[in-house]
Amino acid sequence: MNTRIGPASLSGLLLVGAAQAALAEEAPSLPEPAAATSSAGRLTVGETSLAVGGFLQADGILMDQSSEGQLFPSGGEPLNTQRFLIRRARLSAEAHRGALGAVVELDANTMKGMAVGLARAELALGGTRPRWNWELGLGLLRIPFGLEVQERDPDRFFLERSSVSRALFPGTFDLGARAQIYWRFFRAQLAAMNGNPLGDASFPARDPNAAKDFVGRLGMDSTIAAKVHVSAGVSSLRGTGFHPGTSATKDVLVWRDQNEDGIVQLSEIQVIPGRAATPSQDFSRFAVGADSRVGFAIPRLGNSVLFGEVVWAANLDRALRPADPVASGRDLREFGWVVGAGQEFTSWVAVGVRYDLYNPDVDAYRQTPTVLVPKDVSFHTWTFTVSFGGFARNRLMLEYQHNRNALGVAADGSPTTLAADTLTLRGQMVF
Amino acid sequence: MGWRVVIWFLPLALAACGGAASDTGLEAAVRVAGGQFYRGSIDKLAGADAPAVVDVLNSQNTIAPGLQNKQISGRLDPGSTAVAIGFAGDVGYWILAAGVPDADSPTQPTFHASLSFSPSLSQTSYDLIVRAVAPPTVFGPAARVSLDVEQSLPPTGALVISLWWDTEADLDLHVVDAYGVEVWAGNINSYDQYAAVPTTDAGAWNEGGILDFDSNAGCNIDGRCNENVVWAVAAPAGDYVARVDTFSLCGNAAARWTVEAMLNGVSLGKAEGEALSSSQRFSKGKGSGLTALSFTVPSP
Repeated sequence: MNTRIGPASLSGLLLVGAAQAALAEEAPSLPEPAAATSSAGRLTVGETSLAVGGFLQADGILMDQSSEGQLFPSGGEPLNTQRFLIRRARLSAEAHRGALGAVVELDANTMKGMAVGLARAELALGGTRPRWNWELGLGLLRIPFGLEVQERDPDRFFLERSSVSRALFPGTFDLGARAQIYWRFFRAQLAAMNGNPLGDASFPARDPNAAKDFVGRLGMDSTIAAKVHVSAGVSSLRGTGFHPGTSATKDVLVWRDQNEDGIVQLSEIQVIPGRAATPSQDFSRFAVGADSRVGFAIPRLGNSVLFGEVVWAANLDRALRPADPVASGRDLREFGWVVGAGQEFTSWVAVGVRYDLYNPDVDAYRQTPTVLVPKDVSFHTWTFTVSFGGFARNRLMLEYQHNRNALGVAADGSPTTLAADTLTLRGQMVF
Repeated sequence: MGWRVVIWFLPLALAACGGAASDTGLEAAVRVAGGQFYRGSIDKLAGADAPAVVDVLNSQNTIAPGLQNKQISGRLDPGSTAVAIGFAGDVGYWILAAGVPDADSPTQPTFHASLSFSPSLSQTSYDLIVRAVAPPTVFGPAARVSLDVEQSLPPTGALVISLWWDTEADLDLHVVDAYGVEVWAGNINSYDQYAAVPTTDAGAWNEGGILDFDSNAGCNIDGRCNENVVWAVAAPAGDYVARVDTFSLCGNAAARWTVEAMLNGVSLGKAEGEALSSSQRFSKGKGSGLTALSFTVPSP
């Protein structure tokens, strides 16, 4: 049996890589290699091959309408976001020995001060046959859902994922076990995961309950004509969320100066009785999605890519507006979609545009003085990106994001957009 | 040519779309919890034949700089969907969505606002203006509530030694009086040390130098950043020493402090300095701190 771990990249599954892969790769191998290692940098010692690589994304946020030269009135965190920062500095090491493979990737960034942590740690057992590949993975793995979540950071043409992707999957890696089978153009992935990915608002990289989330994707990935590459798939997630209970509290004596005279009076002293602890509860959550991407090359102009993804979910938001149906007393249904296109103009310049919508609660309502009315709490984002360096991994990008939301209050009391447009410059190098 | 213009100007056009600014309004003299801040003076907004404020319930017309959570509420004419609240002439005003009517006036929307005030209120009184708002952004006539500002006065007494500092650090004032008695957080009244024999005078404790407050004690931030040792009646004549002890900078890089001694309203001396992280390392308690000011209280 000819079993080995292939070092080649899965870039054929990736956004920008779609167009490139149409020209370069026929049969993606498993597992996904370290984020940026290239086979050229591989060192072989005995039966073990080693590779070290990484990438750096350095940002300059040139404009942010939500930025202010103040501190949060409570907590004292800076409100200014117009700054230079290291968005991702990744260093990864990858080893293969026979059918076994391992990848460890460390991340450093200055998003909230200096932070260094584990971004990925994966053990894999896999094999390659002439028309199919298989892999079993264990550790901190990429979540096999949809298009954007499975896209590696340095390969993404736009600076960050869309709102719906970031809300439902605040990190693209989670702890768990995963099986993948690639047969010709057919792709199947299934994973059992903790359900608290890196970036989770409550318990990142931990798991407060024993239930696991089951995530999978069925899809196809093929070059259907000369220089035309197509991938598409459907994804599903079914899992269990966690509503945290509360700790027991002691009796507390409080004074409320109800008549604002600054003098303590007996009627203004209240005892807030202590409360017994409340139990934590689990709740079910799910998501289904569909995605598609087409990459093709236009002679003398450059590569092109078109993509789209749609997701329906319930109780799955773990970052933007964390869903807790126990606290809210009803299920929170989420819906989002994204479409985008990128076009190279020679290998020097590429432009892209993306529109995404995310509604974290399609049943939201608000109380006016007289009636309850539906409330659209959607986040809409237009993204315009110019890349100097085309679709290449080493490039300089300038991106403008126009955001619409329902976080502000108009003068007549109705919801309106809270200004949050941004203009960001990013330099990226892969090594 | 045309498409290039579209590419470059589309983002600018999108940025110009309406909405509310992400503005915390911390420069405003009055702030409304949960309100949306808009720049512009509330009393200069164009009025119209629009719903008005029916009444404003306010329990006290006296406020202090830095006061938090002052509650006001009221009712609005039917048709109102929001209320605008702000000081006349301030840099901006706040919009709150109107609430459901009370049972006793079922057609009149209500509002409930929790107000906080800038610590740097400089005027002696302010006009709080409340205006009902109806769609599409029509402001009704102004309802005015006059609020008097009660400035916190420095403590009065025959001898007052004050310490102020500028960051949320825990600094302690130590004063050694003419008898060598040290007044500080561990001994807040020097009288106990004077009394050689027990006294039956219930007001005798007032003869000592008294520390009024241990500000930011243990880094429980109270925002005062000020301590005073006060002799309400005549202070003993002799030499005094005021020290500043940096108990903790509470995570701040530094604290700039000022110490001043006032005898019957006349300054005996003033000193300024800076507490740095190195200042925290000395032992704490009686006798601690760096000497900031030495002065003499003359005999009467």
